[in-house]
Amino acid sequence: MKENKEIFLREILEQMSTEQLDEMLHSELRKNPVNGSAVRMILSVLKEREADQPVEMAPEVCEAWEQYKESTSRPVKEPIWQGRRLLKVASMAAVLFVLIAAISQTAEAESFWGRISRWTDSIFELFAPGEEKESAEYVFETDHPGLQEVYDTLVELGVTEPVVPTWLPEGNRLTELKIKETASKTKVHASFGPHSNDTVLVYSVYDVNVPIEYHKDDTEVELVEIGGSTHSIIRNNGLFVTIWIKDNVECSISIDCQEDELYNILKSIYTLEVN
Amino acid sequence: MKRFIQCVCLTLVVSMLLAFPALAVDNRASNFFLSSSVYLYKTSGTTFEAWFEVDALGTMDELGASLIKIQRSSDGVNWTTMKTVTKEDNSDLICKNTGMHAACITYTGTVGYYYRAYIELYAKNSSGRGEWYRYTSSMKL
Repeated sequence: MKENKEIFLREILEQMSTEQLDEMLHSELRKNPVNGSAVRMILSVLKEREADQPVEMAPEVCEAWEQYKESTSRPVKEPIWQGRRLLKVASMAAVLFVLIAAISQTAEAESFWGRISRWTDSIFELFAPGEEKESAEYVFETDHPGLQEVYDTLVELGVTEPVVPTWLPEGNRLTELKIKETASKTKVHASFGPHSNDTVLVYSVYDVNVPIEYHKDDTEVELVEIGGSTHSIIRNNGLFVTIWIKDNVECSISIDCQEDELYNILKSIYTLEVN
Repeated sequence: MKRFIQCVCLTLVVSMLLAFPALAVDNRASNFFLSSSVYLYKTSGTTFEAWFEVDALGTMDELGASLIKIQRSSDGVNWTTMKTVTKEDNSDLICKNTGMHAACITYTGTVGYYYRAYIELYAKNSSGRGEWYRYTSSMKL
């Protein structure tokens, strides 16, 4: 399974331009910790390409690669910051921060920033879907037959992490449970109703992370940390839409409810006490 | 130090000017769509699939894509439509009485060209119809 995934990821990398690979390598090398398997795979594709047609890595990529090699070959020394140098770096960081903040505030730049962010996310998801992470045994317990059905479906797809709520507000009966396999993922879509706007649970089990766009109004995105996962809460014409990622599964819940009910739904995923 | 302060002030002024259009925040709320995803997927050689995946906010009478155009470019800037498929041409593009649909069309291109797809997502229920237009990222064969 892992081998197939690596072959598939490699095919994706091979389709990318050298510039994109350089950019991705640069991005990977700047992460802490560096994802070694991702770096090795990108370098291997670049090396192969170089053998066919010699290409030069961008200077900043070379520099980052040299830094990475140095950092992995000898003990890291604490940098000695001197007053003037510190001031220079701090001022550059401040200017960069202000610029980024300004760009991300604009409507145009917001989508620009979103793309960068998504790009970075997709690279991260592509290579680090919960690598070598161990978790305690999770037991799913619910008296809601529809939620149990959703959980059983996900287990059949190999998803055993806590992603399904054990509780929904009254009046939510399972009206549709659909599974669809696409080129990038297997999707599980569960609708609970009957309402004018159903409660919808969507689970995308990725083979390759392709960004999903969610519709939202102009209210702020709220980030909520529950059960060790960060949940992004957006609003779409009065509905709450919560999105989060657990390993290689992108999850979303769309529901018309009170805010405290939404938090109780999210808490129930992690078997935290529902108020 | 004086130069540094000048630089910071200039940056702040530019930042404020850039931030001004933030008042016009993009609003993409929908009464029909929850989420969507469109992309190209290379299957072999010069053959690829143009995929769409769409989740609705409830059960729709009709859900899917009403139109898919495959476009080609030699420079990644100027695009020419090479193939057009409508929901009337291909009934697989639409699914009835569902809240989720995903499908693709296949195309064989030419090496050396960039390709992308323009996809019109479509949803219809008793309260009306919704449409959402998306381009996939481009891919060079």
